[in-house]
Amino acid sequence: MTTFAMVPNMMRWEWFRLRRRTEFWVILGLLALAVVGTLAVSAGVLRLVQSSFSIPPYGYPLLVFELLSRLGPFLGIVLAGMVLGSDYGWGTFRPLFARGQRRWHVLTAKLALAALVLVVVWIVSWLLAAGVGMVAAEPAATGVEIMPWDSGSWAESAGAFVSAWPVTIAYLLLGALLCAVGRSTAFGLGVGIAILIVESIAYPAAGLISQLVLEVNLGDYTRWTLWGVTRGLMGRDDEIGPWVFLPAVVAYAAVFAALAGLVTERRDVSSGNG
Amino acid sequence: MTDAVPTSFEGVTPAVSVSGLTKRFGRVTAVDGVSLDIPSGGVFGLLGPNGSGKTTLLSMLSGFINPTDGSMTLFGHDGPAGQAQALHNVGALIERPIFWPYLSCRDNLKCLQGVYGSDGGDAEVEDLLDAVNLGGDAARRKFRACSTGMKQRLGIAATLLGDPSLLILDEPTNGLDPVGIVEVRDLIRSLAAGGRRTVILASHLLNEVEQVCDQVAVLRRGKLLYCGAVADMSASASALVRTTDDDRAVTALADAGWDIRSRSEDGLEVAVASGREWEISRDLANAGVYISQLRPASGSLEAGFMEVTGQAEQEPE
Repeated sequence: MTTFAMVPNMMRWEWFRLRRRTEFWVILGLLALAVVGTLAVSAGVLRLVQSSFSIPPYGYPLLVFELLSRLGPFLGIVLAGMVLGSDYGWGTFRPLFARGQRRWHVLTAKLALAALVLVVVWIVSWLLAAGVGMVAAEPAATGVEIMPWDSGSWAESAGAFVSAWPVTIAYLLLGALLCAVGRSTAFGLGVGIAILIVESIAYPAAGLISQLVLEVNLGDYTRWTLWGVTRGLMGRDDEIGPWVFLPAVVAYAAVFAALAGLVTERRDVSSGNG
Repeated sequence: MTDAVPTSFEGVTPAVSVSGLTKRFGRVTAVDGVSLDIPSGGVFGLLGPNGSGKTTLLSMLSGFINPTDGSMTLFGHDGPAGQAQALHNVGALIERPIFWPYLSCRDNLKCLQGVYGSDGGDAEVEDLLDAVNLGGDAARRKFRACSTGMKQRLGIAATLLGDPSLLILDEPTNGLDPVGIVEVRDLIRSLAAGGRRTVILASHLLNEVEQVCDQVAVLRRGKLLYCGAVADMSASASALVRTTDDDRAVTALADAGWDIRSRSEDGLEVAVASGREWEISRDLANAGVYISQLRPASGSLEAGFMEVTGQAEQEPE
């Protein structure tokens, strides 16, 4: 079997295993619940106050983007733990590598499948939000638009979704690297989520303190960190446009993938923890 | 010591050939400069106490562990690319059976069959499940809910996917009940029957190696101590002989050139190669002494094993 046939074949059997995991469907179910919940609450609240506020149809996908942009990194790391960390823990890399399978084929198939799952999640979420938006959005004649018609468009809402996907991939690959280094799901998820918590709490807090006490804009120094470039790509940098950050996010993802590949390729394959 | 061990089998093409193979884990040398040829066809035993380096050696052969030093050739293929190619034709069960715990026995085999690119289809999976007595309800049981014996049998079935030419089995009868042990030993013998397949069987069970293997290598503390035919290793074994007249038997056996190791109430312990016990009977009968009992004194391979490892014990490390 050639490389071009090998990786899709591995992906097929990776999916065979992943779709039989209860945890996978639980996570997707929770995510679906969060997406549907966001849309339902937004639509419900607007119906109550429709004389005062309104959201244009393309605003609904942007609401879901807000949710996914925050949950995406967690989802990426959790998926890395499921497709990669578990095989370290159970030792099931051994049967995967047993017949001289190229390790990078296996790794590529795992990560490609996880990325594909995220693509599907993103597309379904956008379509769902867009559908709800078209059905539920009724701009009030006299009401104040939460998102004014002239400040956005369908293209912008789709663009936001597209920008959040590479961010999640970067965190998926960070999770893969952590799982490979620690050879366990627990290490990958533990350290990965710790990084996310530090990023979401410590960076903003440090930024605020440095601004108030030292009168230094910490953002100038953290702009090109993983946190900075992923925020930037999702349009949260006030000074630089989002797509400038795409090469940096891709570079981070490439470094994580290369290191995860190197660790997997070089290391002995353990028989796991039972 | 290692250099002095004869490690090749004349006139037989090796399925596996390793040279100076070494693996160090930090300061611990698990496998120490092992050079060995494993002939094609038949069952090759790898014998050694726990911690002797058997599993590490097999893990290197299977591509799970990278050697610190040395080289190996599988079916004439060497180097990383050659080894990867040759491993397509190798089924390995090392340390313990490892599968996805949430999949059923059948799904585990189906998944591995797909990953390995075997084209045997559902029939191959069902045949293998039947061959290891995991057909019917057992096939539907999740791996995590299987007994140790079922897991072990599934592990053996997985090694047979794609009908590989070389099987590497690391203590495959671990956790099996006596009936299961007999079945697996019969299965191993049948797999290697007619020389169509090579089986490397690692074990610390002397009787298992004696019953199943044609050739054997003995490892201890990572070093190769012995490599040769099982029958040759049993050469220094002994038999316990009870006769109608032990005094005359001692004289008759001494005259015939037999080495009488001891005499006790149990009888005479006579050094004899495995399979040649009938010659004692013949020589005693010629002298008019008749045997009432003749049995291995301490397990023939056991004696050979103790002799090999005992010699190594006396040598400086």
